[in-house]
Amino acid sequence: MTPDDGDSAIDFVLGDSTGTERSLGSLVANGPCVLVFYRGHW
Amino acid sequence: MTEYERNAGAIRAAGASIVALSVDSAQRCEGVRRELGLSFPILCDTSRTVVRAWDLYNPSEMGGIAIPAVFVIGPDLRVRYRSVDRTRDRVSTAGVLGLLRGSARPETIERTPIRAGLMEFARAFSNAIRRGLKTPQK
Repeated sequence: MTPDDGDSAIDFVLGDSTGTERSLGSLVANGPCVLVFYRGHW
Repeated sequence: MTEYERNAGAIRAAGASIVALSVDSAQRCEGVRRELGLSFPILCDTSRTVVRAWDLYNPSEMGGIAIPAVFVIGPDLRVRYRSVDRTRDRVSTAGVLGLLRGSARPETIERTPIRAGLMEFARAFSNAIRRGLKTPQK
């Protein structure tokens, strides 16, 4: 389910394009994170 | 993506970070990141695990892609703002920036129309019809 305003986001770990593993928890450790889902293939 | 890059300095100055996510391979994501000169990382959800878990998966286009969406996630992992852009407009980066600076409320954030090409429009139209046909009859 897509988390709504006020919901707890589902944490995840993914590799970025350089191979660095990043969790959502670590991305927000120092402040809010703007997370942009894009379609890809652009 | 370029709009977020243009506003990246201001977003960081507001104490936030930016990260993009797509279902593309690391190689393709890195190509996009370099081509657009992005200063923020692109997460590669090649297994579609996250887009499925977040219900932001569109399996009917190009072998399965992410539905465009923007979230502001707080340090406690709570969603401070979300915009799922299934429709023909998209949240503005200025709006997101306003929210981060505390000068805009989530419900007042402006949206801007997506300037879509004819092909994208045709695809959206055919998808809408397909979805309509799949709607269960009662």
